[in-house]
Amino acid sequence: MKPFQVAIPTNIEQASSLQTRDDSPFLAGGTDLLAQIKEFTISPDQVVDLKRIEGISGITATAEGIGIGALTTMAAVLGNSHVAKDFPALVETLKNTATPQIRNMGSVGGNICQKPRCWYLRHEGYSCAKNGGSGCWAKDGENEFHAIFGNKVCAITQPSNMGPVLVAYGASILIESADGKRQIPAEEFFISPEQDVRREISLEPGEVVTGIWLPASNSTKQWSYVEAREKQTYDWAQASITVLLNRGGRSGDHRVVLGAVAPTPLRRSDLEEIIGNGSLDSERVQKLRDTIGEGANVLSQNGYKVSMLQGLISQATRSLQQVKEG
Amino acid sequence: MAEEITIKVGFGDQFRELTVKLQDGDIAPWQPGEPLDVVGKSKPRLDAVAKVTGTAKYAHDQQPAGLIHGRILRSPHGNADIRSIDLAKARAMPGVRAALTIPQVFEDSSARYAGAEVAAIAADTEVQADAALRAIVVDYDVKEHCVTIDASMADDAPQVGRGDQKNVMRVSPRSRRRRRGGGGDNAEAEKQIQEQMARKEKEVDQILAASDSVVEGTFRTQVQTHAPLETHGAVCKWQDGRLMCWASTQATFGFRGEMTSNWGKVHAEECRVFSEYVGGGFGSKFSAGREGVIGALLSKEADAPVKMMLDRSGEQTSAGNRPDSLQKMRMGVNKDGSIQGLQIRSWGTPGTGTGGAGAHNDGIYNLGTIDKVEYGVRTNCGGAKAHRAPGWPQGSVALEQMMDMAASSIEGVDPIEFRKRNDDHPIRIAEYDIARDKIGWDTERVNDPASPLRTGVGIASNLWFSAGGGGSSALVRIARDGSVEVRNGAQDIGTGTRTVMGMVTAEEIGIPLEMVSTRIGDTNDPQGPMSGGSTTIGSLTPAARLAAHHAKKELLAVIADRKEWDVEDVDIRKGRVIRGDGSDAGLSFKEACALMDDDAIEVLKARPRRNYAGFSDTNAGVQAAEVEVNIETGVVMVKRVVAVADAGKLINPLTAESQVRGGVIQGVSFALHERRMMDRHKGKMLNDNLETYKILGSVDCPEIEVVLIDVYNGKSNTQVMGLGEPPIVATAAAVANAVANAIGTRVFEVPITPRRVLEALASSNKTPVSGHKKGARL
Repeated sequence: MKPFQVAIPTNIEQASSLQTRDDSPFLAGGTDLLAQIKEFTISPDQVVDLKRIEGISGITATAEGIGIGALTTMAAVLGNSHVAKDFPALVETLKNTATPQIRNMGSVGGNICQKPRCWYLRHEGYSCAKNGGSGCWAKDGENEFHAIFGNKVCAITQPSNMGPVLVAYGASILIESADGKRQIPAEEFFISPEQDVRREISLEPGEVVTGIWLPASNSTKQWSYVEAREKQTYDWAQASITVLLNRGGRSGDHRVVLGAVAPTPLRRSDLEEIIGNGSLDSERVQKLRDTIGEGANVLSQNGYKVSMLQGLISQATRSLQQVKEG
Repeated sequence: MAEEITIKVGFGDQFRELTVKLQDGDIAPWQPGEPLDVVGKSKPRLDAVAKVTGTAKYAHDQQPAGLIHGRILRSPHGNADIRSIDLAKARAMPGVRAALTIPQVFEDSSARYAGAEVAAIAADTEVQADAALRAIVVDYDVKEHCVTIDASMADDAPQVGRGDQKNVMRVSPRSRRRRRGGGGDNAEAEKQIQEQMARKEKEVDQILAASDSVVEGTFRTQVQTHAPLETHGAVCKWQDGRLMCWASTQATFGFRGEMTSNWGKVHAEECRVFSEYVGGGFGSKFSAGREGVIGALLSKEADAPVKMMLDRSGEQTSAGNRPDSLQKMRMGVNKDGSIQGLQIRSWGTPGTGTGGAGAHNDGIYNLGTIDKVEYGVRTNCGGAKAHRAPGWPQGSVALEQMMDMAASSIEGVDPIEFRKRNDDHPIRIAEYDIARDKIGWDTERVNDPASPLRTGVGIASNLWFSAGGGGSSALVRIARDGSVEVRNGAQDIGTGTRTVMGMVTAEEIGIPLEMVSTRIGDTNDPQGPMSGGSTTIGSLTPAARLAAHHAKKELLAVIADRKEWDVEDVDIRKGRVIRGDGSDAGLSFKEACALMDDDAIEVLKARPRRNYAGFSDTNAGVQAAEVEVNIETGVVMVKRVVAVADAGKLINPLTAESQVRGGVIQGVSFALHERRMMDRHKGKMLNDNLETYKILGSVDCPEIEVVLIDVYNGKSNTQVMGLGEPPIVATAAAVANAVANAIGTRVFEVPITPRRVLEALASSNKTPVSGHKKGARL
């Protein structure tokens, strides 16, 4: 670890102006950032600690929706009854995230801003398109856990379990800087390597994620979140699927978003269209299975992810049926 | 003159009498039915509270005044030679107190894998040492690398080693000369071996051709790192020319030897090693290692205590591993269930190490005539070290799956009955039925067709050989104030050695365990074994019991003398002095000790050197696993493991059970998760951490039912067998067989990951699980 200074701003404006360069990362829970610093993956001179800033932590529920401050821990969201009632898929994905210890420390803001888990990117000595060099070591290397979609430029998978769920719920990411505030849909927050291979989220230097907004108008009781991973204790999903049917009671307003198979949460409107009027008969389920792998560009070791997605979409539809019947 | 006695040996309802000549002043082993107050009772380990509350001080925790920090620079290249190293800039960095280079200390300029040690720094702080490492200028001659056995075995593979080292070397069969440690085979000897191999191959070919059924399989197992929670290393401090090391080691005396010996690199005139607590070793901590030597030398140069513990990356890349394996097997069986012959070709990599990479795939059962040829394959990876039952888990993964495949190739033969048919271990024969009953082998498992979950059961066997041996002594001290101490300088690597030594001493003297203080892990105390081959307990406890026996004898003599009783008419039991008729003599142990004139009775006794014939030279053991496989996602969960184990006479069933649980957990982890991932591009280990090097966690842990069999083995006066290694032998194999039972197709490679399950399911309708082909060649 290279020594670094910790700047402790007390408001967003200060925080924003302290991050003038890429090498002054923001520190929230620290579960990702400090590990990167210790392993020399990054060696910043300065870290900007956000924890003294007031007003960016906690959960506020209103009739319009739920606001979650960026510094709110994952554990707090997981245990919140309002979130559980209106956005149960978010609770389900958090149950599957990391460990209780990490959920107690890690913030939701940090979770959606974490660096990808690509083991080339996180290993000293591998320069690639993402970190100043060119190319992708994983594509003809060890890629069992890498992306099968959208992997032409870079084969990372989007690491946040919450990411696909936020996209499915049509959540907004609240962003502030010294220049003001903005709010963007989660779907636009996560950006593909084609858009900009150097970053995974659309934050400009000096911009701080301050919160997440979940609109009540997208809530639905017909939901499913399923994921598969090798190890059940502390492991990353190898594939996940979030399915929301008839959001806000609007017939045909569905979302199907895949996780851990592409550099971003991957919304699949083709699958949403197959679901159509929402009756998941066996013919439709088979069509979903047949279609889910379309567009995949499997690498030498990750072809199994297509089968895994087929299995997961079956599980998701079964759990939706149970919701309906129950 | 040696006393000749008759003892009973055996277990359950199988006992027989055995006449033994007691050697070296030994005493008779405890006999069946003999009332014991401490031995055989479950006792929490003596250091449980210290470990749980953090007061136990490991090597990592030592902080002698003025402590500075050592760090090792490692090669980033898959295969290189070091042309030169310039330390000047690093030495000038803030806080730097000492520096050395590997070529200078170890006379080795090769850096044959990414992670190989290159140089080292000691500085006032860890951060300063890290910064200084980055200022070291190294000129490497970078060569091509091979980091997998497949790459290394390819025709045009670059050379892994140096000089005339070949990438692939035959490990067995070897000539007599090489077996005796002589040099390479000469042409004539090699020719003879080749002829012998050809004859054997032809013989077994013919046996297989004549067998009713032949099954074949190609199996692979992965490289597993030891990944102990406490990394390798030591805190070293010199004082008046004497070296003190607080080491994380499995061999305190071996560590000392490396520091003082002529062949070592440190040449300390005197060295004392402390190792009161060790955070895991699993076979990787027998040697001081380069890090131990580096720590001692940096400390000498800096004239300050140096903490030289590996970081996690160094631990994962360079501190040892279980070699991988590629095993091709053919087995011939007859319709009566008898195995006729077995043909084996296997390969495994010791990396750049010199250790063996063999797979024990030709043991446990009566396998008929065996034709086995085994190769070691050099790769540009960190060297293998002994890893909990070296060679056995990987061998069992192949052999036990072959056993199931062979059983299923004969109509109507159950895998357990098939094993019993080809096994003659008296203890294991009894254990099969226990495992069968406890796992519910004969219960029909009905899978819900609407659910993707499939359950299955599998079985596999253990074998080990660990009654211990000579070369260890124990000192028992009974003081006038009533305190009792048993001392031995060896280490407790977490197995419960400390507790068991105390229990044996307490039993022999006739006092509760709480009255005995056990001192271990200090080379100023009597000689003890390294913790290897599961021999520690079998080596130490007979010495402790013998020393306790004689110390007590002296105390009884004092009591008899003072009280004017006949010495034959006085004894100590449960902390009270009793008379021959069992009545209380009105004297506590403490009061009896106060009768001494001297400050203390001290008896040092060595363990009798040889073991007696005993009941069985080997431990047995059978494990059954129940798994649940999600055929849609490929995710495997081990739901339950029944582990039937034996270890001679059980001193402490609680710590024995804990050993079995540990073996099962590490075995399931090997079966499903752990694997070293090497990058083909740069030759680096990609998961040199505990995040992507996956180790089984709490949610993944199966329900483990341990059944312990108490065996009066008669091998020594405590008749204990070790139990560190045997419980890991069968686990992964049992899991693999259970997975095959669950999904109807076999995954021939561990770890059994979702990817491999899904791939096996996808291809299962294309190729048969096991053939009945005859005469096929490997």
